[in-house]
Amino acid sequence: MWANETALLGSYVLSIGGIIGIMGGLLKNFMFWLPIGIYGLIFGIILVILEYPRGRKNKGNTAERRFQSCTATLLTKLPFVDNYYFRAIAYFIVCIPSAIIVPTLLGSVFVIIGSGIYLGAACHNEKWAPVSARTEVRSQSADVTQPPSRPPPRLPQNVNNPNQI
Amino acid sequence: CCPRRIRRILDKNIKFHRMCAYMIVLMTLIHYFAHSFNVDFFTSAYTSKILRKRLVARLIQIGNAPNETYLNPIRSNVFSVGAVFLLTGGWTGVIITLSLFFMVTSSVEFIRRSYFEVFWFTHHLFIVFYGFLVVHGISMQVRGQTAASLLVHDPKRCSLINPALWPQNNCPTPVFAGSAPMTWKWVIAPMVLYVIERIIRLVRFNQQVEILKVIKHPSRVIEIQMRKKGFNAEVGQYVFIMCPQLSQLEWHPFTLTSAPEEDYCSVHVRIVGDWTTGLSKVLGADESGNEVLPSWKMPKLAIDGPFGTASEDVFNYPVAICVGSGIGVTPFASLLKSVWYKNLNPEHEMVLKKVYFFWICPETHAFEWFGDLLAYLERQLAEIGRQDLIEYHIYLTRGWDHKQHTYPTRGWDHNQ
Repeated sequence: MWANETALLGSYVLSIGGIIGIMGGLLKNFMFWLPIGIYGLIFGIILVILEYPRGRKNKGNTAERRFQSCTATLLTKLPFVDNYYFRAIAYFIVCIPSAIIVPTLLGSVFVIIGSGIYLGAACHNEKWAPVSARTEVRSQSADVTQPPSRPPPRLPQNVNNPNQI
Repeated sequence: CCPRRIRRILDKNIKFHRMCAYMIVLMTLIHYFAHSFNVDFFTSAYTSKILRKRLVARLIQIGNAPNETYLNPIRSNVFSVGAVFLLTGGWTGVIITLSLFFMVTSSVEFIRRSYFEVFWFTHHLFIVFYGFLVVHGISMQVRGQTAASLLVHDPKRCSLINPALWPQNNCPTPVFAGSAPMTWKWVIAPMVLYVIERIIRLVRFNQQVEILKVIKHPSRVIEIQMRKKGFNAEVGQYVFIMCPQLSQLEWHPFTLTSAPEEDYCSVHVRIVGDWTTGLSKVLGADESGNEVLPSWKMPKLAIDGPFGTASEDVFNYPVAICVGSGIGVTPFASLLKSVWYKNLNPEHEMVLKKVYFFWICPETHAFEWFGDLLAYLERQLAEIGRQDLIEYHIYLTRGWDHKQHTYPTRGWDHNQ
């Protein structure tokens, strides 16, 4: 879970670093930045899409991110993404080329840290699972959409003093 | 001491903390990206393409001879990413940014709610953050010409002249200096205040807390009555409690449920997680222990507090409307008890004449102890004829579950 947060923030910073790299790369002095900046931006955006849906917690309800259902359905169709070993190794390999210029260095270091945490999570046999929709609790009683037609029961000793509970 | 409008600002302290944190993150990103251009300017000055400019070539040489001060903190041709780590500002910046990164990612609400220890322990990286922030600029690597040098060497004029001809043209070698670190001036006051607060907590940890009584209430609530020398609280304040036997690092906040007029202080603790379960066990109040523990077997507790909340001002006004929902009703236990005690004292006419009390909770199960307290107070006030002092409105929001809806038809049996 925490790996997801770190990798997501890292991918945001990587994308911004990529934009800075592109903007700097358009200057005469820093032309070397331009290809790495484009690489950083593209992979930053891919990582954002991969990391944005939050996986399901093992117990309890999971708070979803806003609009995460759009990309979550995509993730269920991709082959290797729910395996955290794959995520750890893939993110590490992806970030090495973007670590050679300074603007994208920050984002790639963050994503590499996220991949390290994913490796730890993978060793604990965690996986990514889509968050299921919260099941409605259906009361077995009669139709509860109507307000009760009778007041709540009042025991004899309660009737005299309405302030007592 | 201070007017109420100013004291109210202190209620929003966590919001202010978060605003500061967002600003720190934003400024860190801007600072980093700006300096990434800076570092590349420093390192690319050594590449052959740039070295063809004579001014740049001369400027990076200044500082190599003895008695000269340098302009470019990078003194030889290195790779730009490596230069980040060569500069003192660089590697301290890396440590600062990494600790900020860990703090920010573990502070999102999801992690705080579900994995609180991750949040709590990574947040203590702020010590690393502030330590390295203060020394971040210690090598004074952002440099410019000194004022004295600007008088004798005018950069506007001399930059247009071939640097090899500077001595003839009245351009002596410029002298550079860096600006001294200034962050410590901003952060020293809060750091000192924080250290003082931790020292106070340490002193309070060593003060003895005597446990007078432990009472088991229904629905997994225990009441701990304690006494500590020199402890005074207003109504509704809260304390942090620590039990070294359970954990040396965990201080948990609990609202005081005792009135200031009583000679002990009490908290009601609901047994929910592992710390509270451990607490009930060492106090002898869990399911297995039904015997009373002698006082020498009682665990050592430490109290830090009391800390204030909004309920302190209630005695200054003639009418008070108190709204509590769920666990938020605990300060009102202390408040109502204190109202009762103040009423017993006929000489002091209370400013407070009427309390409207609204209690909203899913069901009364978890707060049966409070319901008992309310009933007791109601009876006491009726005895002295002041039952109109407190008016209760209680709302149960969970509605009827599938068992309760049959009560009106079957006739509600209290024992079922």
